[in-house]
Amino acid sequence: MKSFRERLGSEWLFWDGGTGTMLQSMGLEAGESPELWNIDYPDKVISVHRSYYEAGSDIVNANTFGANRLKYGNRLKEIITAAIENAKEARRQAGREDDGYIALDIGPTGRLLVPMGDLPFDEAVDIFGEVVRIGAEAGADLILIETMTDSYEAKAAVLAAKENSDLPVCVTTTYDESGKMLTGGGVGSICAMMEGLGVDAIGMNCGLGPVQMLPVAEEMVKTASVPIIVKPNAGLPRQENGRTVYDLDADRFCQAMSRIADLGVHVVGGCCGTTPEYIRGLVGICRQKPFQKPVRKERTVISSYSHAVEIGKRPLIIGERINPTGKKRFKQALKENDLDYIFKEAIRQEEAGADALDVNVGLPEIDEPSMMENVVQSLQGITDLPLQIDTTNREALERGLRIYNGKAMINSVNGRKESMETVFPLAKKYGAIVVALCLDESGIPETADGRIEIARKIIDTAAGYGIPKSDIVIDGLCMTVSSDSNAALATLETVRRCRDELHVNTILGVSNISFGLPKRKIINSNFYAMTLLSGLSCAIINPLDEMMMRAHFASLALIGKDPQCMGYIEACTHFSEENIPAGPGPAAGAGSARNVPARQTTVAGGPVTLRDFIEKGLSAQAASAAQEALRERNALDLINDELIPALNAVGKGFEEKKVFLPQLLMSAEAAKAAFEVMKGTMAGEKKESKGKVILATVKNDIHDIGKNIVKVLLESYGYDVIDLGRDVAPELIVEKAVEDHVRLVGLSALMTTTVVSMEETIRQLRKASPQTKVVVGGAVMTQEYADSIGADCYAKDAMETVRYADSIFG
Amino acid sequence: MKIEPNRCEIIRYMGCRKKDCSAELLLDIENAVKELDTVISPRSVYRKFDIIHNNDGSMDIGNMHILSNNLKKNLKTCASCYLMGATLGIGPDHLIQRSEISRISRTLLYQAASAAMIEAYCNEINAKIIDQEKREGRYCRPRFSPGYGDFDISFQRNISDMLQLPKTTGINLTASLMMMPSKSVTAIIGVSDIDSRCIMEGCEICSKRKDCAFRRDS
Repeated sequence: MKSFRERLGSEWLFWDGGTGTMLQSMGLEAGESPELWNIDYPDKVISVHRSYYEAGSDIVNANTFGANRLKYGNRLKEIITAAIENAKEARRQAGREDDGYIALDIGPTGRLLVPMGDLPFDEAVDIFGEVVRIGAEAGADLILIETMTDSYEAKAAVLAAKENSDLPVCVTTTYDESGKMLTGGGVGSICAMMEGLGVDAIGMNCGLGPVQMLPVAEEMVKTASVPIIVKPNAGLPRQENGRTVYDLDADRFCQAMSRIADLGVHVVGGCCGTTPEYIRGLVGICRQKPFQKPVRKERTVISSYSHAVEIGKRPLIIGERINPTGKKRFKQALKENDLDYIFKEAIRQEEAGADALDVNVGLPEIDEPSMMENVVQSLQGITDLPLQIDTTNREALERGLRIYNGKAMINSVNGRKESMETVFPLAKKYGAIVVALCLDESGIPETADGRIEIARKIIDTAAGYGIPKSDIVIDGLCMTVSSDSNAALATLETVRRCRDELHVNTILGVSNISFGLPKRKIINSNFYAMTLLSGLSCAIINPLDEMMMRAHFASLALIGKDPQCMGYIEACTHFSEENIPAGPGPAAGAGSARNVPARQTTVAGGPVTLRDFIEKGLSAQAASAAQEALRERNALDLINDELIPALNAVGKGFEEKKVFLPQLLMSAEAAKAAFEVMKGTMAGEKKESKGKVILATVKNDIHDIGKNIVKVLLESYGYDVIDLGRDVAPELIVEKAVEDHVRLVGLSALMTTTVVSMEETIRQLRKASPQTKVVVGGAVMTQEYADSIGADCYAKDAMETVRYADSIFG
Repeated sequence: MKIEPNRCEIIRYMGCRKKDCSAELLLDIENAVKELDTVISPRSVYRKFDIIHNNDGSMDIGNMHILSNNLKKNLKTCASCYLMGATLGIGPDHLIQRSEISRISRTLLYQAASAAMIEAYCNEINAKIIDQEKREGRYCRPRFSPGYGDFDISFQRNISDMLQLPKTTGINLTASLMMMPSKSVTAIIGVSDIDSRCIMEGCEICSKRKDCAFRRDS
């Protein structure tokens, strides 16, 4: 018998059709668990499988779609084993033991993963891993991960499949009519990630009929390098007398599938509503058609959960600002676990036009691997830009790559044997683009010849790991021109020869070139323009630096990468008028060129002082007013004379119902923006704080808007908030409260089901830290409820929490 | 798909009163609605089930065995009902999470506007169902959701299974039975031969009615 892998991609293969809908026609009720039928009605299950084999299906899914421990607990092994046995029996009865395969069918868990949901990624891998081990042991021939609506969950399942078996792994995801998955990804992003992870075949199932699936399949044929599977529903569903029916009969289904087969897909079958009749028709039609083998696309693509970005089409900007090197404020944020600061850097760079973000969180004093994991995971809820994992720490690299929902970039490998041996296995396993530095054991060659030679060595070594050249991006390295006047020329030549001789993409961290020189931006931006002319594919730069962005857009217009100069013209609307910015670039200021405040304010009679700006809720103006004021007054005076009185006035207005929540929050934001400027001047010094407050949304609760509103308000009033986030275990809250001697803990819960966790947290706090006060709030909370669970205070809004804090620390 | 949320509801969800809203705030609301419009991907599913009224006061709907006075009152004259699930998709959640970092005042706008949008979307689906039943001479009761009054939230799980919500709509449940995407609704809509009005609904049935900042004035 030829193996599945031997046949996949070299001849037509046919999957089965709907299983659940077939069982429903045999009496399975809505909401009833189909997997239990493997044990309760094996004959019915066998007859469904058998009829598919007889209709011509080469692959039949065992009835294990929803089988996982969340649903079946300790009956899981019994259920999966019975399912595989049923499929084997069907195959035997149909006489297909020589050419029929059984797929272990893995569907979604029904839980959404962190950061958008509450299921931790590693737990998802573990849940799927258990299914894979049982299924492989029971004798499945391959694994189908299907009906995935979230690329992140699909990644967890693929890793589980590969880490727990050697079986072929196929993945089919579900798209809507716009070609998007329910969680936002598309064909481009899913192909980049899944091919990176090394799946055997990729495709689509469920959600749509073959008519609506055609354009999605077309896009996949253009994108994917591995074989493509297409398994649509029998058209679109509608309700008829309380039953779901689909709008295509077998003939019309097959007509539509005929067009999909012509596109050059490789495996076809059906999903909900299709029956053996549909598959029989499909086999008849496709066997008449020539089989088109999959074509390798050789493109260099990185991706996020939502989209893919191709390297090499036009020069990409990789934002460099998430990096503590030389940044006091950033180091402080890392030490204090102030992730919001890092996230803001991400948003600002994205708004300024970055295509991807470099993430470097290395600092000797912190646990880099867990910081990397946290930052990479949380960033995915904040920005949809692809990420570049920048670290020299192997564990940090692996944890970052593993938790990332997309195809990441690794920064970096170099020509040293040890470096390649560390990085390449991880790049291969998780599927990443690798930045390769042209240096090795003997250092950095001065000439382009030497660097090209190292580039070749790295590319050859990568090939030995199964990493294609298209997944390598060469960094030709910039040495400072102040110590070697030929340094820039060597780099430019390396970039050009990578393009022309090696046909490989390139990347540079540009700013090194000007080290030791005055007015570095002038050198940097001019050099950047030259690298673009030499064919640079990606630049690691600061997109908030207007000089660099000017060089970027001007160069693109000049080298034929900006049709009709539209990009340049658009960018010009954001550039400032003066010739060259005098002081520090926009990077150090309150916003980028694109963050022009929505409303102009300093008209006659408008607000003028810091206090006014805060009362009016104008963040950008408050920040610059604070900057201005700091020249003459110290930060503490400003806080006491301007910031606090402004907030008090607004807070009082809120309590008197003259000011409403939006205004209150805008003022708090303005105060925070001003405070952030002052913090910049105070970084490293001892800060004045009114007190430490812990805030947390309790265990099992993932809605934290209320908590975040309270946080902003407390911070604007000068409290140090230890934000433990959402879904926080009571033990962690208690541990923090005890460790930091925290006198006030604020807890939020949205639902009656989670108030239980609130009560438990209070119980544990009382025991371990009796002097700590607890204030509670949230959608279902009332005074009576708060009393009954033993809270010290019920705050019906954010302002009340501030007042209560004042009463404790005041 | 264009969803037109009720502006007054958005303002109420933000804890404001219409008469106190500045022109700027009203403009911000319009912009938030516009922005949300570009990120939502509304999906819904509904199916009709029979209701069995048991002698002990409980009801059976599909695989649910329900004891709830509030729901029973709502479904008193109904022999069947629709189960529905609807969501705006994950887009608003991303927008909200992102704004929590950069501008929390925007969060409030997105939160309020998207809450009103999912309501408006549910109203649209509900109207379709009402129309459908009206043509056959039947009437629909106001929709009723798990967790509302004494209708236990744990029935989320059953409704999710019966409608296959993760697959049909992308609605997932957390361990504590919250829905993600967060702008999602599940509900029961009773179908009756009798046209009756004036049953308790909305704020009047809620246990938080005494001190809720978002309670409707009348």
